[in-house]
Amino acid sequence: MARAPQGWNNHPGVVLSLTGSDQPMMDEHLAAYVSGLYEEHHGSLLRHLILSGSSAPEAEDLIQEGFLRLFRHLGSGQKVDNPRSWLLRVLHNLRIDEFRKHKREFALDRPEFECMVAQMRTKGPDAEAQVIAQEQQARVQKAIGKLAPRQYQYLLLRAEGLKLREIAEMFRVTVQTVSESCAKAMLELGRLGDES
Amino acid sequence: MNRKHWQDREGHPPVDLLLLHLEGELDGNAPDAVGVHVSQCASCQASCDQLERGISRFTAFCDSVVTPAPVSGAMALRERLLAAQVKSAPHPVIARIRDLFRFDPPRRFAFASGCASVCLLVWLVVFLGSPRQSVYASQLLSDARSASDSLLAQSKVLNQKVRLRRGSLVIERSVHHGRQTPLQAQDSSVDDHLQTELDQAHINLDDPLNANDFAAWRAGEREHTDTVKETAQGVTITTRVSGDAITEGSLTLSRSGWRPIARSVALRGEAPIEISEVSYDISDSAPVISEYSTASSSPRATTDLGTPAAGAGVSTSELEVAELDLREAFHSMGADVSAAPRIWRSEQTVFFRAFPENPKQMHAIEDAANRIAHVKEAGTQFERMPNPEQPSPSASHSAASPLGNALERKLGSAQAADDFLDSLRNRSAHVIAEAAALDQLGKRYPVDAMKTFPPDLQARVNTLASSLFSSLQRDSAVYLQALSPVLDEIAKERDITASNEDTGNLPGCLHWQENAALAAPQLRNIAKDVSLLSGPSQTGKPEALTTDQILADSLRTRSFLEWHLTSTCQLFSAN
Repeated sequence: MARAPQGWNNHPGVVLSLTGSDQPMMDEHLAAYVSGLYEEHHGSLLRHLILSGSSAPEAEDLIQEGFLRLFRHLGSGQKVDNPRSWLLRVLHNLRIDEFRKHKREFALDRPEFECMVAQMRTKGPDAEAQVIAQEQQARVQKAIGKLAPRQYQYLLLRAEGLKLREIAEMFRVTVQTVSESCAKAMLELGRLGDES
Repeated sequence: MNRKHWQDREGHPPVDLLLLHLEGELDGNAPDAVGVHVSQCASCQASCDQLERGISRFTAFCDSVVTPAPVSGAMALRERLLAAQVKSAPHPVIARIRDLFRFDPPRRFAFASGCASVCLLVWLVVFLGSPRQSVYASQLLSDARSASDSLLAQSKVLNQKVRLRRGSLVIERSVHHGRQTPLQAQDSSVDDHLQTELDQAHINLDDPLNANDFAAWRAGEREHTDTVKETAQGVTITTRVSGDAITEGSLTLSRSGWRPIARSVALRGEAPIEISEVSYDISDSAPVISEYSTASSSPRATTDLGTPAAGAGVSTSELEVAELDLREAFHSMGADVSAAPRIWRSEQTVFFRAFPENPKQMHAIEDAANRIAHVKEAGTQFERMPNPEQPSPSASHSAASPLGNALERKLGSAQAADDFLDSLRNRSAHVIAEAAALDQLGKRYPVDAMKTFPPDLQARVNTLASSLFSSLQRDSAVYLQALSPVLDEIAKERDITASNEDTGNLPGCLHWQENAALAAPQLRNIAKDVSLLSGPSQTGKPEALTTDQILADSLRTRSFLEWHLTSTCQLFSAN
């Protein structure tokens, strides 16, 4: 976890000092802090955006933009309790803007996405285990492909560690809506083993 | 969330309430009511299990997606953030004026008396603004160069399709930064007149969006004024000059990665030349060693850029030796493990960034780096940064946890159990750092690339790896010796046995690079398992594993780890 500079963002005096003579030092600290967050969260945010339908270069652009916004947000003296949730919210909005701009819709079965989905992790080069894992992964992916786009987005954010309440706020719906939608999807995925 | 009367309607809570119950997000009296019902209802328990399986499958699916390596690292981002701050931060004079306008009681007088001087201050801002923009433009061009170098250092190739437009003339070209662009057919539509103008503007048709060419043109114009504007596309540097033919030139860099995406040249009395990126992608290239010699197809600018000019005569082999010197220097002071250095190369410099443990180590690293030619510390100054491999602050174990319980019985007190777990965490962090350092070395010098090295360099890499591997073997053995007795005891109580069948399927041996790549995540897995076994119960969380599953995983991972630490092929002979 990237550690914020001592007292950073909790003390109004720190914010005020941004406009004073200490500015270069504070900028440097804030940039170091945000860069630390980037190192920590880059991989998972990139994966989240790719799973949300962005291409890798698009996702890189969005992540850079997201961190730049975080930097400006913190630099203007505003508080962020949970940078990761904050970034996920901002990236979610940026991604929607991007999709609207290009009039594009997310599809799980697009070829480049298929290429990015690696084989299910297995411990040891056991060929049989890998085949079983691949089959299981194919089943799971097929079932995920059948989910409604909203359901899929809810689950993605849930898998990123967001609470159902936070997801509901992000999509401006009730917690019950998110909970019902997620529960149905989870039951579908949970049943997969029973059918085989 | 509190849905009343669900019992009256259906007898079971609806599935969304079960999910909220599992997530711990029920409020009001619902948690008790749903919890009591679930504990007594086999049907609802089965539904909860199904929900947990569903989310763990989805999470596993997400985890299976391998993401590409970052195009530009945290350092590049940091430079970009600072550059953005330089641009967006108000000038101190403007900040002072803003303060005056706040009308705080003590400042009213200052505001009233300062009105007269505002005009003067505004004039100063205008007067000082121009050089500031110029500095910022230079900084942006330097960033573009650094971003390009960063890609090269990661053995990436930036493939761009660019379009040049001048009146009705349109030319399209494919450019590959980081790989020699194949010679493209001479375009017959480029007449001598246009070619002269392109030459004047330092535009190479084989790479018309090269930031270095723009920098060279800008530096060649004695009298120029810069303006930097942020647009939806990116950041545009516009340079006005007082030349006879060219009146203005501009370069647009993308908002991320500082990639040049557009360039234009305004000509006196003629249609402008406009160049824009049509599409781009980034692909992996051949190994770094072979790329550096053919990295750029156009000459580097000699001014305005942060690093010395290319073609200064630093050969790949010199850089290779410098990098190895640096790695050996880090190793000799133990900093390759404790300071988690990151080392990468541009065309003519070996860069590094480290997380020194203390000022003494920081100075030792600086001294060592200063003694090696072509080595440069990335960033403007050393500062204390959190080491990514440092252990997290210690926490008390949970007495109800399997490991905490066993340790308390074995050691006699909760304090002794806490002390033991602290020592285990420290050992674990150290061996993970060792494995990470070895893994990093293995990734930098993979088996195939090693074959292309001269024998003396191969021997040096092998010696370095051998030393690191020996330390890892020794320290891991100590760590496992401390952990294993208590782990085995709990496993015995729960009748879980370590299976040797898994490792039976492994080949006879693996290269040290492969073993290092597998040992590091295995050590992290074991540390995570220990943390789960000594922490509070995870029951109720969808992704929670049972104690038996965690134990079985630990024992299995331990078997693999022991195998990888003792089964290295052709131990450190020249590849």
